[in-house]
Amino acid sequence: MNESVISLQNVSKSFRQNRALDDVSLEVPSGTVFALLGENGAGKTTLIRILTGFLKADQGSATVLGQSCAKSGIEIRRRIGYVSDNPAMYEWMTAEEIGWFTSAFYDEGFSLRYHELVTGFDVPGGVKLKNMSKGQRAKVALALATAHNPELLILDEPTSGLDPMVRRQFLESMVDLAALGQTVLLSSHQISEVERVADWVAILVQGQLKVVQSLEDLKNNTSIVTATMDDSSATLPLPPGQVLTESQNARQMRWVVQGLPDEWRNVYAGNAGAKELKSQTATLEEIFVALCDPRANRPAVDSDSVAPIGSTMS
Amino acid sequence: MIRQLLWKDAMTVRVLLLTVLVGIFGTTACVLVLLLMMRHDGVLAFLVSFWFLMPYLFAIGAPAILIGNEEAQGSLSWLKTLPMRWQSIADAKILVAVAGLIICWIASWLFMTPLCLLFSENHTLHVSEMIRLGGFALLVYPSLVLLCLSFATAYLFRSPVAGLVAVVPLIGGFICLSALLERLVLIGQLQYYGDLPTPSQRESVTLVVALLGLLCAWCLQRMLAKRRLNGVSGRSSILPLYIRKPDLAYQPGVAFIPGRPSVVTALLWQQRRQCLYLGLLILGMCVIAVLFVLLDLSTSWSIDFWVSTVRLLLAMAAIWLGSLVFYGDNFRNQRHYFAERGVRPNVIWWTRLSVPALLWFLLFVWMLLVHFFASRYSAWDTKGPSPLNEFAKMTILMMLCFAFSQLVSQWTRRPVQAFFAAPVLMFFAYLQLKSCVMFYPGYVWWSMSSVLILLFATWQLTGPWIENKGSNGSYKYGKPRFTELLKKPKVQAGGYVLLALAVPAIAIVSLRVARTPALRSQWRETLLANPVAEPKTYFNGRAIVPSLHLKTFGYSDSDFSERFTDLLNENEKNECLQLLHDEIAAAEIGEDLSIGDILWVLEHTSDMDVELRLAANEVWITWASRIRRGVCEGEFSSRDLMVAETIESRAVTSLLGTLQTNPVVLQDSEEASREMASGINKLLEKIPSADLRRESRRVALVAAWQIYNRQKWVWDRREGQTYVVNPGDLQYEAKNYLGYPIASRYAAIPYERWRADRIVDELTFLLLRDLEGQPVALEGNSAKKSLRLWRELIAPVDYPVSQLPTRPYWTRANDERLEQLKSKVAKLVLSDEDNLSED
Repeated sequence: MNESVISLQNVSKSFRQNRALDDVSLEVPSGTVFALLGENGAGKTTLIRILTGFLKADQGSATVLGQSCAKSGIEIRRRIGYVSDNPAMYEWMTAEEIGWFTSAFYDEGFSLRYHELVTGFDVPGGVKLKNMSKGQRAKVALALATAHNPELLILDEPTSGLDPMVRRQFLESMVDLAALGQTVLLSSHQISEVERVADWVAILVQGQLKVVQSLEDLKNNTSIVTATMDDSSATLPLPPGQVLTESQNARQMRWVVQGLPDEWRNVYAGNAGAKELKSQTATLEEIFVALCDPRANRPAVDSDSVAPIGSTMS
Repeated sequence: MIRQLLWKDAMTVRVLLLTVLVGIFGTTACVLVLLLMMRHDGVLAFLVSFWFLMPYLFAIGAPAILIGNEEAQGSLSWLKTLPMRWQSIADAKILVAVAGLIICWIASWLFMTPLCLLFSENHTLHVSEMIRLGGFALLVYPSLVLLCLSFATAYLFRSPVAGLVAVVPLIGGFICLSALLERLVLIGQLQYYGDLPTPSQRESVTLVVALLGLLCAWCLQRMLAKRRLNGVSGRSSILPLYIRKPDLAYQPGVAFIPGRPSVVTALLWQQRRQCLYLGLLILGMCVIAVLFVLLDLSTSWSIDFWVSTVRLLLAMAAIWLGSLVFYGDNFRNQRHYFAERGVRPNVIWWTRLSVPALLWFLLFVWMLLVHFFASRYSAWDTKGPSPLNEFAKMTILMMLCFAFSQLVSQWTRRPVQAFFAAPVLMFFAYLQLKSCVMFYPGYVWWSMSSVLILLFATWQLTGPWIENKGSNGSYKYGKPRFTELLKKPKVQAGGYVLLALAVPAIAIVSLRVARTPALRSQWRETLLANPVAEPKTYFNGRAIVPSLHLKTFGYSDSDFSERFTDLLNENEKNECLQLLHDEIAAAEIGEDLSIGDILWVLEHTSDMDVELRLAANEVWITWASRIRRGVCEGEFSSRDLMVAETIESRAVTSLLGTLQTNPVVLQDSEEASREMASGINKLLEKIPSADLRRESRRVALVAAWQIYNRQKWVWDRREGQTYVVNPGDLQYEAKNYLGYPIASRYAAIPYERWRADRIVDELTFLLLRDLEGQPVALEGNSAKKSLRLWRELIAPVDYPVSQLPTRPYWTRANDERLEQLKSKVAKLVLSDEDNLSED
């Protein structure tokens, strides 16, 4: 069993009437790429700010690398690599200068590793950060955050502004880091790309944790069931398992289902209305939309009373 | 579209406008409070300048915020991408700035004019000028020019601070150019000589030049606006191609910089890069501006104006250097860089302070040099008791300016706003210190505590500052609770400011209260039960008193210099002698002669002129004796007694001098010797006895104490002093002790009045006790304590510390001189008698 690098126990945070986080508990195992997903305003940045000690939780406890986030924010940030959604850098510095400047706060090997990273990212030399493109600045921020080989890397929308090739290159490097024992907590909207690299996934919906599961288990456990009907007015029973969403498009019914048993077709055996039945593994994006879309039709079951799906550690 | 732009720019500049309006309103409130206490033109004169300064602050600040801030936020670039003409953008900005400036002037004018009309006679004439449209335009015109020039520098420089500082030389150049142009137009040449044009001609030309000047300034800012807002970014270099660095077709990769700096080295390097050049620019502008004032000193400005201007320039430079401390890190919230990497706040704090503090030190050295030059021109001497006081005052003022502005620079919402908010805050802080603290001795050292508190504040708040705590929109939903408000760093910063203002005042007051003498209730009762006769008049009742009154020690009122030219001449000598003898025999003191006349005689005779000198001294001794008896009988006051003490002491000194010189003569002339001995002996008999001296002193002291206790504390706002109406006499007299008015600056404060009562009691008690015992030594403990109490009672901090009037006379040394005279005379008489008997 991997040790938890990050541990949250019943963390809640409110900003006046707005409940940003509601009783969130999760454990992030070490040596994994942990993706934190959620729509805008779900509470991802709030959660990250609590982990990095910038905010204090109203209730519950949070620890990072064994240290309390509320009490040891500075020490935590010293040990981790953190790239916020809007990284603060001194715009009048060039890439060389900011690398040299930042090396003062880390170990001897920082400069060399930083240089390797920015060279790999094709960052231009002698150009002030304020004169670089957004993507180039993002690369510099990433290089600064990773060059000191932190045990934990927290990235908030890190690939925003990067071109697809660099994005892919960067995300694959996250996998390499995880393989070396470093832990990566990644918050992103690029679900399709996160799907390629994440080991674990947590999905926040309006401050509540709906999913905390390994990506493999989540995908294996979630299916898209489609049924083609003879008549668009026909009604079909719900498939077995936990139905997340139901939608109808003319004569086709579509469900996103978790825990679909192998013998699910038996439900429709005697039903003449169902002409064609299919199931396929849901993509992460489909799972995400199913959980987060407020306009989705969620049949009968009160989703609030359902405990978060999955467990924190396998 | 223009409406939207106007709205956007108005929102941008509203905080500055509000700050300035608060400054104007605050100035008015301070003036009102001070005028309610004292109606003094000096108060209005001091504060009118701040009413004028506020709109000028807006004129300098608005362009920096409208352009510099927008550039920093990136919204200026965004505006250029929208489908609108650059003229619309520029028009909106200048329209908003002009509107804001007019609002500031109207507010200033509306507040200032009624107060000047109501409270000052001297200012009425100037205010009536300002009521007219022409007068108002005269106020507004220079600020309009300043506004246009500030826009010009804001468009020219990307850095808002550089644009700000560049206004100073531009304004100086503009003024010089306008003056030259005016002379050129008026008389066709640059130097004034020959007949000047008529006033109406001069007015017309001045008006034309003024309008031309405003037009030029507007055109300049318009031209630079086009350059900045129109066209492609990156085309901003105005250097010719052969001077610029060549563009490279291929951008090299990031170079590897070997070596790893220490944390301190890295942070110092970063701060140096951020603010050294700006700081040097500010310093340079201050040096140039002060030199300009120094070089122009000989022309039309008075010393007072020169000193005030130099102080203001140095203070502004110190404020702006303080505003640089956290400016660079606040720019686009770059300070979060440190928070994201867990850099310790302590090291960040002192490295932020380092470079601006070093620049402040250079400014201090410059102030030393200016002070040195000023001392040579005696400029500082006119302002206070000693140059050292002025130097200390200026140093602490500069330290306070730096300390306040570094705190402001940490917490202003927009970085460039610190350069305007800090002067306004410093103005109020200075007012508070000046009205509550600066008239107390030792206030300079207590003001240091304010500096330490403000530095502590930024040290303690650096952690929340780099983490941007309290500014993350946490409270945008509904109002925060009061306890949550107290935790907000900005509220804490405000608390530290209040603490910095309160601590010196509290410390000084506490110390003064602690050092107040205890109440001697039993002694007071005894004294009240045994009153003495008070003098019938105790200030300027009788005609002779002015001639005796110790206004200065010069006694300039003597016409002997016109009456006598050579006292060696026998006729003149006899005439003078007759006058002296007549005065001795006269019934009234000073009937024909004054102290000045006697002094003249003594200064224009040598110790060889025994007869004249003896006669002159006899006049003094006669007067002294009569005054002492008069004091005991309630005829003369303690001030008159001090006159008696003085002339008696001088007579003894003069006689001792005569004795020391004349033995040479005596050896040659026995007759002369006999005459002198006999003469001096006669005088010694006239010198008041020890008992009379003691009794007259006692009565004068008790009478002075009684008078003090009888007088009321009445605050006269016209003069800002305490006055009490003398019953039966329409003249006013300040509440006084031993004839010296109690320090008027203190008298407005209730607890100081209570202190004054206790000090008067204690001083009277000590002096009476010394009178009853042996005469005290001049440097003894009792004398020192009395002197200290006297200085607390009488002397405000800006004036030379006065001596206790009894100090040189009611002492052992004074008595010993008299004994020395008596013994010398006795020896002389004895030896003469021996000589006579031998004969």
